[in-house]
Amino acid sequence: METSTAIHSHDPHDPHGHGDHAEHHDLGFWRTYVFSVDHKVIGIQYAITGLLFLFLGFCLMMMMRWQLAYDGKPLPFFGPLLARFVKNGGMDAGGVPGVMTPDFYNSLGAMHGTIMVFLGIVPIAFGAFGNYLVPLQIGAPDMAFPRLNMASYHAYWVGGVLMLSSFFCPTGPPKSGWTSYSPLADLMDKQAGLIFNGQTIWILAMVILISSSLLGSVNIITTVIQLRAPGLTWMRMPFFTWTQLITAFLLLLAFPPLEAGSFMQLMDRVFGTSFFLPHGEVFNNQLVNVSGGGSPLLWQHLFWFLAHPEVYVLILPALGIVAEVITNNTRRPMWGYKAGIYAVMGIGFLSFVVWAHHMYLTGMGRVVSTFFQTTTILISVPSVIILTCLLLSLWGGSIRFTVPMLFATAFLPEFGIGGLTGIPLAFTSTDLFLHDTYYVIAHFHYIVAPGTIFAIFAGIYYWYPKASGRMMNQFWGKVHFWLSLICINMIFMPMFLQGMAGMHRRGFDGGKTYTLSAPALHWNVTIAHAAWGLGLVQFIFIFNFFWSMKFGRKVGANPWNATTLEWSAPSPPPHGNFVGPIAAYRGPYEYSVPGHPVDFVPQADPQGPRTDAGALGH
Amino acid sequence: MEQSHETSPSAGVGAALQGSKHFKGYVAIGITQVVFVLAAVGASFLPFHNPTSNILVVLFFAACNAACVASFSMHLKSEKWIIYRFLIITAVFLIGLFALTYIAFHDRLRLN
Amino acid sequence: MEMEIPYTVSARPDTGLYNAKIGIWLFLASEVMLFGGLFSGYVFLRMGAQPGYWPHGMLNVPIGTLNTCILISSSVTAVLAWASLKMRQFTQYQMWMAATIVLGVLFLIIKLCYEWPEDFKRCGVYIKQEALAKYEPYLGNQYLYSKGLPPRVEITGELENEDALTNPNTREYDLHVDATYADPTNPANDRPSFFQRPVSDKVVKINKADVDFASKFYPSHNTFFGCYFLIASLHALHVFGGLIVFSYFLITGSKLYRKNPEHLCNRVEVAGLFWHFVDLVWIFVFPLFYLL
Repeated sequence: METSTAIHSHDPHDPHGHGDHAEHHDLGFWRTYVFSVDHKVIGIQYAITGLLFLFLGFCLMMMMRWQLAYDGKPLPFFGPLLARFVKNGGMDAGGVPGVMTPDFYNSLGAMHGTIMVFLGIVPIAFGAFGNYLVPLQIGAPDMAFPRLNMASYHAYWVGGVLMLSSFFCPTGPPKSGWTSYSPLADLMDKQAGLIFNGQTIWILAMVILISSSLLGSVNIITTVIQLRAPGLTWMRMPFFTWTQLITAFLLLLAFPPLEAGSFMQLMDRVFGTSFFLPHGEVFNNQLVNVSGGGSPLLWQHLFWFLAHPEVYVLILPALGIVAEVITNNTRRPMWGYKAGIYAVMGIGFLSFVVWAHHMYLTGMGRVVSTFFQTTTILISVPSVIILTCLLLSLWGGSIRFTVPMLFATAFLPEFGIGGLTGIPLAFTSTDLFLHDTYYVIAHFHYIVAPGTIFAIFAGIYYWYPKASGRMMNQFWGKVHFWLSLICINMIFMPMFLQGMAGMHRRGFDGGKTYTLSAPALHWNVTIAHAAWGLGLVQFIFIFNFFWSMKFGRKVGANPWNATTLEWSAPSPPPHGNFVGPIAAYRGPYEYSVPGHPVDFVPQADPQGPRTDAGALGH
Repeated sequence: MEQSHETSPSAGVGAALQGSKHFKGYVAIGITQVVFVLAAVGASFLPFHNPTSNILVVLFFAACNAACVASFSMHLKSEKWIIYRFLIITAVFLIGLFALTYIAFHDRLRLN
Repeated sequence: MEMEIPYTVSARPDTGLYNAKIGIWLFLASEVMLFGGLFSGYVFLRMGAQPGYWPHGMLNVPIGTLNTCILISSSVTAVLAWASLKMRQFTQYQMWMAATIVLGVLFLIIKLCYEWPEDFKRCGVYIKQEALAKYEPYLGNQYLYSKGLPPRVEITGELENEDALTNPNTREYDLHVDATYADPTNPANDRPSFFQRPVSDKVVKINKADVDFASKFYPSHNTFFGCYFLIASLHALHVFGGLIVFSYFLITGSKLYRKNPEHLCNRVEVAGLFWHFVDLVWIFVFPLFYLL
C-alpha cells in the first residue's frame, strides 16, 4: 500500500524539482514517503491505496457477474485457484471447485459495496483529491494539521487491511450486505467468544475507517476556514474547494451515529446484548438466548442516517472536479457559480433529513413516510440546479475535447440519468415495486460509476501533470474513455429493465427464483461480458498511469492554461507549495475576460484585470 | 508569518481574565454545578404523578448544569460567531435525528 | 515543520481564532453527534420497551452523585490550569493540572474498581408472562395494578450458587431477593430510593422453566444495561484519553512553555475543551441512567 516513489520528476534541469528541497534537511525514506506529513504525499498515498481497493472491489464484482450469468458453473481459471484459499468451501459448492456458494456470493456482494464506497471512492474523491488540491487551491503551504493528516491516512489503510482480513476468517467474510442489517448481522457466524469472524471484523474496521474520515474532515474544514491566501474570499474559492468543504461537513456530522450503531452491533455480537434483537428472535430454528427488547429498525435508522449523506459525499467531490474541468476546457467562467454554491449547501443540509426513504418498506406510517418523501423530492431541486449550471457552462464556450473534458462531459448525461431515475424511488408508491430490485442498483451505479468514477478519471488526467510534471498519454486516454463509456452503459442500462421486471438485487441465482423476472434474465450475460470488458479496458489506464510517470511528455506549471491557484505552483509543487508569497486577485474562473489579450487570467497574477465573473454569475 | 499578527488568540477571553477574581469565578461555577446535580437528585425522588414530569424536571436541572459548563468553562459566552454556527448546525441535525426517529417510532403500522 | 503553518498560535484576523480551536470545536460537534446517536438509541429502546421491562433504580445513585461531583471538580481544575498558564504562572498550572488528573483517575477507579464489580455481583431473573402469578408474593403485581403502577416482571438479588444459571443439571436455584421483593406491597418500595436497597434474607426458589431470561447485571442483561454500559464505557474511554493528553502536557509542558508559552496555553485550552465536553456528556448520562 506504500506510495509510488516515482511521482516527482528527477530532471536536474527542472528548477522546481528536488532542488527546492535544499532548505529542508533530508528526512530519509520512511519520513518522506511513508510517514510524511506533506499533504501532497498523503494525497498520493490515498490515491494509490484507494485505486488498489477500487480495483479489488471491481474484481469481486466480476466474479459475482460470472455467477449471475452462468449460475452454478465453475469460474474459469480463477475459480479452482480460489477454491483452495476461500474458507468454508465458498468457491467449492457441491464439491465442484470454482462454483460459488450462495453464502460466498453474499460475501462478495457485501464486500464489493463496502470496499467501493468506504475504501475506494471516498478515500479517492475526498482523501486523495481533497488533501492534494485543497491547500493548493486556497494558496496554503499545507493542511492545518499535517500530523493529523498523516494519522488519518494510516488509520485508513489499517482499517482497509483489517476489512480485507475478514476474507481469511474461519467463517468467511461478512455476508449481511454493505448495509449490515440486523438481526442477520447480529447473529450470522457468531461463535461465542470468537472475535475473529467476518462480521465482527467488518464492524471494527468500520470504526477505524470512521475515525480516519473524521480526522480528515476536521482538517479540511479548518484548512479552508483558516488558511486561505490573502484576497481569497469565500466567493472567490473554486467550486471544487466548496464541494470539498461541504463534503467534509457531511462526513463530520453524519458518520458518528453510524459509529454509535456500530458499537451497538459490536456489543450485540461480542457481549450478547440485544440492541437490535427483539424478544423471541429465532435463528437457525433455535430461540436466541438474549434478553430481547431491541429493535432491528434502530439499526436501520442509525445506518441510513449516515449512509444517505454518504452518497452525497460520493457525488459532491465529483461535481467539483467536473466544474473545474469544464470551466477550463470551455474557456469561460462557470455559469451560475453562486447558485451552484448555494445549491451545494442546500444539498448538504437536506441530505441529513431524507434518510428514511431507504426504509419505506419497514412499516412506517403515512405521516413520517410523507415527510421523507417530501424532503427527498426537495433535494432533487439543488441537484438539478447544479447539473443545469454545469450544462449551461458549456453554452458559448470554446470547447476543446481533451481527455479530462471527455470524461467530464460524459459525466453530465450519465449523472442526469442516475439522478432522474431516482425520482420513482423517492415516491413511496412507485418505490413499493422498485425497492430492493435491480432498478435501485442501476440508479445508484449510474451516479457513482459513470458519474463519480468518470469524474475521478477526469480529475486524474487533469491534475496528473500538476502532481508529476508529466502529461498522461492523450491518445490512450481517449481510447480508455470511449471503451469505458460503451462498456459501462452496457452494464447498467439493462439493469433498469431487470429492475422493472422485478428482479431482486441480492439474488445469487441471477433472478431465477421469481418467474416474474424471467424475461429480463438474459441481460445477465450481456452485463457480465460488458463488465469483464470494462475490467480489461482499465488496464489501458493503469499502464498509461505508470508509464507516463517516467516517459510522459514533460510540462510546466500550467499546461492547461488554467486559472485557479494550484496552477501557479510548480509542477510538481515543492514542500511549502508556492515559490514566493501567493495571493488571489480575482475570481477563480476568469476565462475570456473581454479586452484581455489572452483567454485566461490566473487567479494569482498581480497584473491583469481585477474581475469577479464567477461571483457575478455570468 | 504569524509574528506580524499580534492579536492574542483568545482575545475576547484573555482580556476578560485578570487576577484571582476569575479564579473565584470558575470555582463559583463549579459549586453552582454541584448544586444543580443535587437538585436533580432530589427532584428525581419527589413523588410525581406522571413519569413525564419527572423526566422533564430532572433534565431541566441537567440542562442548567450543561449550560454552565458550555457558557463558562468552555467560554462559549465569549466565543466567536463561527463556533456558534458549527454548534447550531449540529444541534439542528441532532434534533432532526431525535425527532424523526421518535416520530418514525410512533407513526408506524401495528399488528393489532 | 509546524511553524510554517500560519495561525497555529496567533489568531487569524477575520475569524479571530487559531487553528486548533476551530479543529477542536469541529471534533466536539462530531462527538455531540456520536453521543447523540447513542442517546437517540436509548430513547428509541426505552420507548419501545413493554411496561415493566425497562428497569429503574438499578444503579448506585450515591456513587453516581459522588462521581459526578468529582468530574465537575476536575472540570474546574482543568480550566484553572489553563487560566494559570494564561497568567504565566507555571507552577500553579502544574498544580491544577495534576489535580485534574488525580480527580479523573479517581473517577475511573471508583467506577471500574468499585461500582461496576458491585453491579456485576447482582443478578436479575425475568419471569415469563404466564408464570408471573406464581411469583406474586415477590412481585406484588396486583397491588401495583391497583395503584396504576407498571408491573414488576423481574426479580433481582444475589445468587446462592454462582454457577446456578449455567449449570445444565439443575432445574431450579435459590436467589436472595432484594428488599423490594421481600416486601413488594410496601408503599415505600413503590419507587427507587436514594440508597440501594440491600439484599434481604428472603430466598426464592426459581424454577428454570418459569424463566424468560436471567443473568447477572452484565450489559446483556437487558437493553437498559446494554445502553448504560455502552455509553458509560465509551465515556470512560474518553476520560482515559483526556487523562493521557493531560499527563502528556503535564510531563512535557515545561519544554514547550520555555519555547512558546502561548502555544502551550492554546494546547491546554483545546485539551480543556475536550475535557469539559466529557463532563457535559456525563451530566446527561447521570440523570438519564441513574435517576430516571
